[in-house]
Amino acid sequence: MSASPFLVAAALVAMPASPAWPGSRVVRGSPSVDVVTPRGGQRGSETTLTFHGQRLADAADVLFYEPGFELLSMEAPDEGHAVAKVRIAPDCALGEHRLRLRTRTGISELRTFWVGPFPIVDEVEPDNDLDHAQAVGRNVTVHGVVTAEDVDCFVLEMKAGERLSAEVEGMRLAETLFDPFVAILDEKRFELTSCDDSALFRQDPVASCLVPADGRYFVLVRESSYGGSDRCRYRLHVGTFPRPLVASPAGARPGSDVALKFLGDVRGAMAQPFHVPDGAPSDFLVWPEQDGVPSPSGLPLKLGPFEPVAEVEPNDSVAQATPAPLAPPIAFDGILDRAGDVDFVRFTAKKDQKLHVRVHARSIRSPLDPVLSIHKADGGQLDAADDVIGLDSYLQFTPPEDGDYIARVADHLGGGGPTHVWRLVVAPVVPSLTVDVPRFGRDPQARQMIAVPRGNRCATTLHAGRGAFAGEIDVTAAGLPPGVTLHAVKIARNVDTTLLLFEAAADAPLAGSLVELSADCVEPPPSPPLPPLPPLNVHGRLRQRIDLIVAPPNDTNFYDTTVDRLAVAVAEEGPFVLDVQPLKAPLVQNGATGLKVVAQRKPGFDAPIVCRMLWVPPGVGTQPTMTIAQGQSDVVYPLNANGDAAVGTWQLAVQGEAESGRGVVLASSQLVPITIAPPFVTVKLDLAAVEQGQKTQVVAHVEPVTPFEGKAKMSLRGLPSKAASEDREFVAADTTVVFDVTTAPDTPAGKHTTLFVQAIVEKDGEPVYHFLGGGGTLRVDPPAPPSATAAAAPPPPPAAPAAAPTAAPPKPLSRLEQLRQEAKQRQQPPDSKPDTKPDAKPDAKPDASKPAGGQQP
Amino acid sequence: MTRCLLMALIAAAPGESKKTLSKLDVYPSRLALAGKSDVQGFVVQATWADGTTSDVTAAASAVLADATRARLEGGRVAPLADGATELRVTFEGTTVAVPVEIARASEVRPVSFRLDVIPVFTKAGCNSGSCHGSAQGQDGFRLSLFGFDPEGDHFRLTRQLSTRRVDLALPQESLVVQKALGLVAHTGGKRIDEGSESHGVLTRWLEAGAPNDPPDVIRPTAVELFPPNALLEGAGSTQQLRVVARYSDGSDRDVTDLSAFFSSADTTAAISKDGRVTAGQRGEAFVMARFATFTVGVPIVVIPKELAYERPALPESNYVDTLVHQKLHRLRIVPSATCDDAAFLRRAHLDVVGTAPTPEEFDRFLADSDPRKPEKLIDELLGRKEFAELWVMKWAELLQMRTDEQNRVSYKATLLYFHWLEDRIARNVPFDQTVRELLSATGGTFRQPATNYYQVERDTLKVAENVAQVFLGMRVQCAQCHNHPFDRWTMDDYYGFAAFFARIGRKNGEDPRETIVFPASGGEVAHPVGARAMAPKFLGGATPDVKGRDRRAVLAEWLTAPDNPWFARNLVNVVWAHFFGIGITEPVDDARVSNPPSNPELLDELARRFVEYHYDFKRLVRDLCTSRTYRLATATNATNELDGRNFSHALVRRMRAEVLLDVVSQVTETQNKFPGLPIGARAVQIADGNVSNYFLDTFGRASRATVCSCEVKMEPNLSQALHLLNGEATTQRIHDGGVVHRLLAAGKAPRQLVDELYVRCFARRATETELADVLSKLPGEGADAAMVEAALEDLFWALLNSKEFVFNH
Repeated sequence: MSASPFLVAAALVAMPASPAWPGSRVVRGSPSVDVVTPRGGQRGSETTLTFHGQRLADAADVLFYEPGFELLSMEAPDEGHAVAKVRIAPDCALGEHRLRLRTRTGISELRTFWVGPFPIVDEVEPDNDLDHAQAVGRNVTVHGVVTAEDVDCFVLEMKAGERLSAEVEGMRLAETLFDPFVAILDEKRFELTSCDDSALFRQDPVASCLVPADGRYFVLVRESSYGGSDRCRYRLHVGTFPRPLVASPAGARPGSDVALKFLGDVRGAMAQPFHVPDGAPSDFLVWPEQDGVPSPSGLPLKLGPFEPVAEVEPNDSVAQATPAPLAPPIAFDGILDRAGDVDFVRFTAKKDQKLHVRVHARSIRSPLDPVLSIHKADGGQLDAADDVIGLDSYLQFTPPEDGDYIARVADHLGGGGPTHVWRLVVAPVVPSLTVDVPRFGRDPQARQMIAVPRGNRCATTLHAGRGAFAGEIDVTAAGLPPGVTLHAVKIARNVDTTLLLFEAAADAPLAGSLVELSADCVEPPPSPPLPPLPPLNVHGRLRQRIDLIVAPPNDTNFYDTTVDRLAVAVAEEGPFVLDVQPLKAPLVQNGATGLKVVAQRKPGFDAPIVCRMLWVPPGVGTQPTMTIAQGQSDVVYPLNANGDAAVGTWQLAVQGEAESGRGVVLASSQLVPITIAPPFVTVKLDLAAVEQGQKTQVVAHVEPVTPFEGKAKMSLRGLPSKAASEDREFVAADTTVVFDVTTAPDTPAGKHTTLFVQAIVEKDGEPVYHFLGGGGTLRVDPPAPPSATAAAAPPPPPAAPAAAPTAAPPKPLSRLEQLRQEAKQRQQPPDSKPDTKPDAKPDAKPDASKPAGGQQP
Repeated sequence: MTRCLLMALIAAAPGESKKTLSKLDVYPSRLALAGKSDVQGFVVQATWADGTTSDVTAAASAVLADATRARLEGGRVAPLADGATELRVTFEGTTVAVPVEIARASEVRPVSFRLDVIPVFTKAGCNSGSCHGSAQGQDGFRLSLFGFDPEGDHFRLTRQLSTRRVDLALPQESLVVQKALGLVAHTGGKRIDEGSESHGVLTRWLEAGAPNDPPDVIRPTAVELFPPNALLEGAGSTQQLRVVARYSDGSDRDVTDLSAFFSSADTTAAISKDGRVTAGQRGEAFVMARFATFTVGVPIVVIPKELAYERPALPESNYVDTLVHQKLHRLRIVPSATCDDAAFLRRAHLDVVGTAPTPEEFDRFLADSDPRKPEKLIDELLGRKEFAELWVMKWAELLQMRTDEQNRVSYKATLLYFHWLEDRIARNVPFDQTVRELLSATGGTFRQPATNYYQVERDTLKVAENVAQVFLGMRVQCAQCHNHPFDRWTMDDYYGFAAFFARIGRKNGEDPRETIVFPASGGEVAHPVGARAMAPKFLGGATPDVKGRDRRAVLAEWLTAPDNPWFARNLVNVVWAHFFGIGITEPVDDARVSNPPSNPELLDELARRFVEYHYDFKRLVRDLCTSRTYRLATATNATNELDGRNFSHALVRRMRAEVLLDVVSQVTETQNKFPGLPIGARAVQIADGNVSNYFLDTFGRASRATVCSCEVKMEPNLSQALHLLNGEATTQRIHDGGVVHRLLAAGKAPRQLVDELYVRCFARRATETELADVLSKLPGEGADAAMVEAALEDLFWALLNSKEFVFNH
C-alpha cells in the first residue's frame, strides 16, 4: 500500500465522541476556532478580537503570520470564546492577515483577519430597503451580515463628478460560501452600476462610478442569489477611494523601479512609480493610492528575475512580433486592448533548452482567458496550451533548433479591453523544491499544526514537491519553540514523503512559534553531464496551501491562502507516551512482521488509544489504524511487504490519538528503524491433482536466497475446505518440501489456485515470516464413474506408487511425471490395467505464477 | 351527344340541380408522361356557387386533342407517341384544357428497387413499425422503417437467407412473394393481392434478377396531393384523391396506387386504400397520403346537406376576427355572443397579468362608459410588470430553467438565467434577437447567463430536438431512428440539423460553479447508417457554408430570419394558445404535415404581422386580446357546440398552478415563501423548476424537466379538489389573511361584505338570489361577532372552492 491511499483510508476512520468539522467525520485536535470577530480592523487602531470556537478556555497566545500586531491581553471567559486585545500598527500591511490561537493544549486552525485603511462602522438593522438605508460617511468600512434573503442598504451624500466606489470582502473573509452582490443606485433608485462577480476578486464584487449630480446615493449589498445566513459577514468599503482593476505591467524584478499604471478606474488610468523591494516574494501586492486615499485591496504583481519586455503595438501578426533584446529568462508585458486583439512576441532560444512558457492573466486578476501558442519564426505552430493553471496557460517548450521563436497570446473567446493585461514569462526550467504537510482527511486544516506535549513527541508526514530534479532531501527547521527538537528523516530519492518527529523536553516552556522548514538537496551532478555542471544544490521551503472555503460542487476549494511556516507549540503533558519495540529481524519481501507498540499511560487514563502508522516505505502494506484497547498497554501493528518492497533501512513512527475528555491528543512513538530485505528462500509449488476423498502430495521447490541457520518451518496454506496437510520443517540445504494433502469426499471439486506456503525462518531469535509460492494449484476431481470392466476388476492400485511403510519415502513425482505414468498404464491391455481416470490434460505444467504479496500472517 | 345528355342527367342528381357551377378544376393541371408505363390519372372538381365542391371526374367528359399522342385508358392518360397534346375536360358547359406532354413513349423503364419495390412495401405496410420495420424486425426479417435505408433493405432481402427470401430461379417461390400474397403462413397475413400492380412490381423486379439501383438513381423530391381542398356536402358524398410524385430528374409520376392514405378524422372523412374520401358527419378532417419520405395532406370539410345557414353580419375588431369568421363561415358555424364586461375583465387579468382584478379595478372598469375600455384595459395590463413575469415563466418552462442534480446548473446560474430572460422580456427586446442571443450564447454561465441553455441539456441530439420543438414547434425526435412517418423529416434532415450543435465546447470557469460554453473547433454528428459525418443543414432548407463560423449562430440567423416558415408561426401559436386555451396548431409544439393548423390563414397572417412588428410580443398580444374573438362568451349555440378548434366560443380553462396560487394568495391577502426567493414572491417568479410546493405540484406545475408543452397539467383531479377543500391553501389562508375580519372591522355590513367577497373571487357581484341565499344563512342581528366572522369565512371558503373561482371563463 502506498502512502497516499493509506492516508485516505486513514481519514475515513472516525472516532466516536470527538468534535467534528461540520459535515466531516474527521477527528481534530484541541483547540478549535470557527471565526474571529470582528473580521477586520483599521490599521493604527486597537481592537478586541473574539475567537469563537471550542476548548478555548486555556487560550494563551495568538500566532500572527505577519508583523504589525501586538497582543495586549488575552482572556478566555469560557470554552467557547477567547478575547484578545490587539494593537494594529499604523504601518501594518493592508489586506488579509493569518493567525492561529494557541492554548495551553494546542494550536487552532488558521483563521484570517483583515486590515484596512478606513474607520470601521457596524451595520445597523433594519436597513433592508432604500427608505431605511443606513447613512454612512465616505471612505469607511462597514461590517455587516447578510442573513437569509437580506438586503442591506447604505446611503451617502456625494457631489457631482466624485468617484463613488464600493468593494465587498465577503468570500475573502473565508467564513462560508458567501457570494455577495453590490449595486450603486441614485436618489431616483436607478441603478448606476452593479457587480456580482469581478475579475479582480472572483466572487467578491467591486463597483465604481462617477456620480452624475450632487445628491444621495445608495449602496446595496445582498447575496447574489438571495441566499445568506448569520455566517455571511462582509466588509463593505465605501467612499471615494480609487478602484483600479489591474496593474500594468503586471510584474517586475525585485529591487527594480517600475513605472506602474493602474488600469480600470472610472477616473482613468493612474500612473504610480513604484520601487519593488529587494527580496520581495514572487506573489506580491501593490496598493494604488490617489489624493492620499488608498484602495482597500491591493493589486497582484508577479515578481521574478526576468528581463521585462514591454510589447510594442502593433504586434498583431508574426511579422510584427515584439522582439526580446535578451535570451530567456524574460517576461513580456502587454494588453489585449480590444476585442479580437492578438499579441505576438519573439524570443531567441537554444536547441534542446527546456523552457517554461507561462502566461499570467488570471493570476494577476486580469479578465483575460489566455490561449498560448508557440510558433516557428515563419509562423508554423509548434505547440499550444489553454487552461493549464486554472484558466492561465502554461507549457514546457524545447526548441527544436537554435533560433527565434514566436509566442502568441489571445483570449479564448476573442475578448479584449483596456484591462486585459497579460505577462508572458519565458524562462529556462530550473530545479525547484517545495515541501508541504499532506492533507489529513477531508478537513483541509486537520493536523496541519503540531502540538508537542511536554516530555513527549508529535509527528507528521511531509511531502516534497520536486521540480526537474531527483535526489535525497534534508529537512531542517528554524525557529522551533524552546525545548523542542526536530528529528527529520531524510527524504530518500525514491520516495516523496517522509516523517518529521518533534520532541519536547519535559521542562520545555509552554510556547509556540511559526517554524521555517528548509528542504535541501545536495547531490553530486548526475553523470555524465553534457557541459560541466556544478553540483546540484536545490533549496526549498514549506509552501502550504490552506483551503478556507470548501463547498459544493464536489467539495471544491473556493478560497485559500498559502503559508510558508509550520505552527509548532509545546502543550501540556499528554496522558500517554508511546514506544515501539525495535525489530531485530528484517521484514522480508513477500513477508510480514509486527511492530509492538507499547503505551505508558498516566495514572487514571485508560481510554483506547488509536495508533496510526503515519507512513510506510514503498511496497509495504499495513492497517490504517490499530487500537490499544481500553486499559491495555500494547498492540502489535502488522506490516507486510510485497515482492517489490524497497530494500533498505527505513524509519517509521506510530502516532497515537486518544480522546482526552477535551479533544483529541496526539503523541508519537520514537522513530524506529525497519530493514526490508530479500527473502531467505524462494518457493515454487508444483501443480497437484487429486480425486475427492483421495490423498496427494504437493511439492514445494525451495531455493535459498540468504543463508540461515537451524530449522525453519513451512506450512501449506490456501487449501480448499475439507483438505488438510501437516506442517513441515526444513533446513537451508533442502531443495524440496513435500506436503501430504488429504481430502474428503466432499472437498469442493475444481481448480483451486489459492495455494501458497508460509515459511518461518528464525533470525536473532525472532521469527521472519515469508509468504511464498503464491498461485499454487490443486485440482480436485470428482471420482470417475466405474466402468463395466473396472467393476469386475480388482481395485486399482493408487495413482502414486504406494510405499512400504518401512521403506524410505520415494521421490515425489511431479504432475508431469504422474501423467506420463498414467499414460503408460493406459497403453497396457485393458484387462491388465483398467482405465478409470477421466481424460487428464497432458499439457499441464507447473504453475510459475508470481509470489503472493500482501498476505497477513 | 346522347352520352353528354346522360352525363348531364347524372350530374343533375337531386339536391344539386339548383346549384350553380362557379369553378371547374382538373388536377394535376399539367400531365407529363415519360416512358411507356407512365400512365397518369386526373381528378375533376366542381366548385359550386355556395362554396361546396363535388368530385365530377366521372361525370365530366374528357377527350384528348390528339389521339395519336396519348389515349384515355380507364380514366387515365397513357402515352402513345412523343409530343404534346391537350386533355379537354368538360362539365356543365365549362371546359378546362390540361396540357399533356409525352416523352420516351416507347421506352420501358427498368424496374427499380427504390422507385418501385420499396413503395410496394410501404404501401402494403411491410416496413411499418408494427411489422418488419420494427427495430428488431419481425419473425427474423427486418426492413428499415418506411424504407429509410434502401441499401440495407436490399442487402437483407437478397443476401440474408439466400435463396429463401429471394429465389431468382423461381421468382414466385421467393418468400417475399409467397408471404406477401399469403400463400404460406405469414404473421402479417395477406398484404398484396395476387395479380395486383404491387405483385407485378415484385415479380418484374425478381425476374430482372432483384437488382439494386445504380448510385445515380433518381429520387422523389416532392409529392402533391389533389385536389388541394374539398367542401363536401352531405354524408356519403365522395372525393377521389390523386398523388403525384416529382423526381430529381424533373419527371413526375402518378403514385396514387403506391401511396398510403390516412385521415385525421375517419368519422368526418374516411379514406379508402386507393384514395377515395367518403364524407361522414359534420366537421373537418385532414386526409393524408404518404409516399417515400413524404407525407402530404389536404383539408376536407363536411357539412350536412341542406343546412339552414346564413352568414351572420358580425362586427370585426381586427384581422383576427376576419380570418376566424372566414373559417367559421366555411364550416357554417355561427360564433357565440361576446361576454359581459365583468367576465372580460377577469379573463383579461388572468390571461395577461396572472392576477385577479381587485375590487377597486372591478368598480372602475364597470363604471367606465368608454366604448374603447376593453382596449384601454389591455393596454394598461400590457404595461404592468406582471405581464413580463408571466411570459418569463412560460419561457422558463420551455427553456427548462432549473437546477440539476449533477450540479451542472447551480441555483445562482438558474437565477441569473431567469433574470436574463426577465430583462429581455421586460425591455420588450424583439424575440428573434433574444433567440439569436440564446442560441449563439458564448461565455461563462454566470457572466453570459444565456449559455445555461447549453448546460441544462448537454446532449447534442437532444439540444437539436429541443430547438426544433421550442422554436419551430416541431417534434423531429422520430427521425433520430427512422424517417418521420407522419412528417417530412428524414434521418438526413435530423442529423444534418443536429450537426449545428456538434461543436459546443465546455470548460470549467474560474468559479467552480461556472462553466464556459464556447464554439469548439471540432466535432461532428455521424449518421447512424454508414456513420458519415453530416454537414449542417437547415430543416427543410439549405446546407449553409459554416466554415469559420459558429454553427449555432448560423442556425440562429436562419431560424429567426423573417422568411423562416416556422419560427414566427410557432411563436404566435404559443401566444395564441395561452389566450385562447388551444393552439391554432395543437399541441403547440407538434406542428407537422399530418397535424395542420385549424386555421392556416390566421396563423400565416399572425406570423406575418409578428414579423412586421419586429417580433414585438406586446403588439401581438394586443391584437389577440382586443379582437372580438377573444371576447366571445363561453356559452355555445347549436352550430358551435361541437367546435373546440375554431375559436367560435371561449373555452373554459382551469387556471395554471402558479396563477391559481398567486390568485389565492391575492384574494386572501396572504404571502408565499419559496426557497431562494424573498417572502411574498409570486409563484410565477420561481426561477428554478426544481423549486415547488405541494400546491403547485398538485395543480400540475411544470417541473421543466422537458421542453414539452405537455408538462403543464391543466386537468382537474381529485387531489386538487381535496387540497382546496381540506388543505392549508384555503382554510388556513382565509384565517391567516384576515380579510373578513378586516372588512368587518371596517364596518361593512354583511350584505356589502358578501358582495365584496364575490367581486374578490369571481369579479362579479352576487346575484340577488345568491345574496338572499347567503344572507339567510348568516347569524341574525345581535349575533356574536365571532359567529358572523366564522360564517363569512365559511362563505369565503365556499367561493374559493367553487368551479367559478378555479376556472378562467
